[in-house]
Amino acid sequence: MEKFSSVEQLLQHSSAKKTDVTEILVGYGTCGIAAGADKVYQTLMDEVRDKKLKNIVVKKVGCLGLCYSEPNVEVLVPGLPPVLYGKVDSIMALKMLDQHVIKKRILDENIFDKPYVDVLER
Amino acid sequence: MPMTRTIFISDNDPVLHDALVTALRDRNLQETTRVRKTSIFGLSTYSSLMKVFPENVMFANFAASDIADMVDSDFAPNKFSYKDETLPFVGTGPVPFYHKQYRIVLRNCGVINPESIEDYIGRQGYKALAKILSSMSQEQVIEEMKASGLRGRGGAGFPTWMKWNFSRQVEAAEKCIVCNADEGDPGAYMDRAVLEGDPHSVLEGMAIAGFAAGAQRGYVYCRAEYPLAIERVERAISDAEKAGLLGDNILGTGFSFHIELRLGAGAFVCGEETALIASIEGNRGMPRPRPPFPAVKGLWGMPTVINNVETLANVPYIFLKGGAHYAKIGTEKSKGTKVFALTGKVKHSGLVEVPMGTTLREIVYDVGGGILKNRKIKAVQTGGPSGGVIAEQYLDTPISYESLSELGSIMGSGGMIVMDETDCVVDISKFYLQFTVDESCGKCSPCRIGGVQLLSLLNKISRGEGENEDIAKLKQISKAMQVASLCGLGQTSSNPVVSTLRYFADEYAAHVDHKKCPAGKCRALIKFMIDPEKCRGCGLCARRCPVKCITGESKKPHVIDQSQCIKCGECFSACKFKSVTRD
Repeated sequence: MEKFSSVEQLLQHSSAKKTDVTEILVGYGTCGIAAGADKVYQTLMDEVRDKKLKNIVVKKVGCLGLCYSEPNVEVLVPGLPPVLYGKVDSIMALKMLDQHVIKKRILDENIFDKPYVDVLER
Repeated sequence: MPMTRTIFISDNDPVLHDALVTALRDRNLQETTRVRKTSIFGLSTYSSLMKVFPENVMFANFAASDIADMVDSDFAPNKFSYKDETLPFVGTGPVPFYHKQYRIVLRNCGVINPESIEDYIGRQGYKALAKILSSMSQEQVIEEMKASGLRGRGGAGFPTWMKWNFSRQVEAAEKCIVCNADEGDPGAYMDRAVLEGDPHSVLEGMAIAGFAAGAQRGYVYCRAEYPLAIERVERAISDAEKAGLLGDNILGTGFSFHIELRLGAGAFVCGEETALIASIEGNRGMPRPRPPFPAVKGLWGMPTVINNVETLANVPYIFLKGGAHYAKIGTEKSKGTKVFALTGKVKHSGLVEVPMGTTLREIVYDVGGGILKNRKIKAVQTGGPSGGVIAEQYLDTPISYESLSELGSIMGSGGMIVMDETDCVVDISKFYLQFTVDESCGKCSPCRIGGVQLLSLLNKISRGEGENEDIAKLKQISKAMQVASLCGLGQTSSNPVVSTLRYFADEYAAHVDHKKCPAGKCRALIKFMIDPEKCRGCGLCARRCPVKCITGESKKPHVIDQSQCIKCGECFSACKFKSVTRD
């Protein structure tokens, strides 16, 4: 990260999202980790690396809120609705990557859609 | 054949769904199109709604007879369509968890990588601070906060702008801002989630408070039991300093603000502001009388603004959108949203953020999905050990600082524990009193002695030894503690007792007068028996019994040896023929 030396420099700094990138967000708070998010994250990272998958970002994020269904993973594939999967384990993580991300077929299990409006865009 | 399209259709009219399925099948598209029914919340003005992906086109107010045409036109937006990209995606799977939520404090939680300042800046991070430093005066910042109506989210609800303004008006060489992250209520984890999920929003809020109050230093006081939060806050402070967003001469504007982290050893009383100050100073964490208030004379004698994590996380949003915009959310006197840690006997426990004015029932049933095992709800506890229980008949009250305090509870920091019919109010009061007795610092006698006395009375009642005057004694001691204790801990620690006495006097009476525990929790007052008429002699209860006090021949009625029974209830839940009774 560069050092910002003026207000203008910060306001002009744009970190525009690439539109063709799939994001896989793993809920990685204390509670998520306790439920096994670290294994899920590692599995996803290993698979993306081993299969040399392009344009996929696996990201650690904070608590997604659904404590009862930890570990939670949100999958954002361009062109598909955002889908939140709950109670994800390594097996399901691989299935998600293969079916949802690569074949663009949303799984039929453990789905919790995420339909709230982003307050920054409201 | 791969799925190429997903259609979400409102579930209020099965005719529409069936028409869609038929139309797709007639055209042999059922293999490639997934149809999902959804509940539509918040858009009830439309009689029908359908959203088609990947086109992301919304159709509204169509009839069943229109559907064939829509399919034929390949869902091109035509005369039936309502194409509106700004409409929220309203489809939902099995869980409407997010529908009633309005996530301001949690706007970045679960969205950004908390260890990446780049991610935070990408979500308009530090832009509020930049705007303020380049174009606003201290007075203007405080005016904007006043317009927003933000009140302290630590529980007491003191207007944030007033705290900032008190500090601003004091002449002092040095002032400071403290972020109170000493979250200690049982079952509460709102602040941890914010610090772990979006630490920069708290730091930015502190810097803005620092500018408004004229402070150059800030401290985050966080309990040592939150190692991940600590790690991420430390990382965030260091990243922000490297990026020139904290430290000396921020963004070349001449304003300097340094933040340091201070760890607490996890004493509940250190959440009280004067005890917190003592702890940061290196002294034993004990409160002192106020005034002087910390805003005038606080940490090391400096004017000190102490704000809670959630309060500070609201601040950048207020300046991005304007105070007036923020004030549109919530009720007349309680603006904005509140984060709750929804736990207890609720199906979907979780971290929820709802606008003020949402009812408890909406939180428990619409967000939380109702009660586990479909049992009957008994009460909701808010505000932790300083709060109270709110009985089922008041669940339709819109949440605000005032409404909850009228009901005998408090907003508190956001713990919300749902209780069902199997929870006993005497037992609940015992739990909270045990907590505050353990956590009392012992400085003032009303809290130190009163708490122990309350607890021993409650223990006596739950053992079945309660006498009539005990209820009056509970009330009398509670009152004395409320009036005479030095700090908030002692003044409020009788709240669980007072509020349960208010709503569940009959349950206390059952314990005292009839020596019965209606919820079946107080072990001394219950007795498990086997009904010989119903018992088939399967022996399951005998195998489950941890103390082996159930005996009987195979296929003949079994008997519980009452002198050995520890009343764990294993037999009661194990029996498939409901032959074990609890009295």
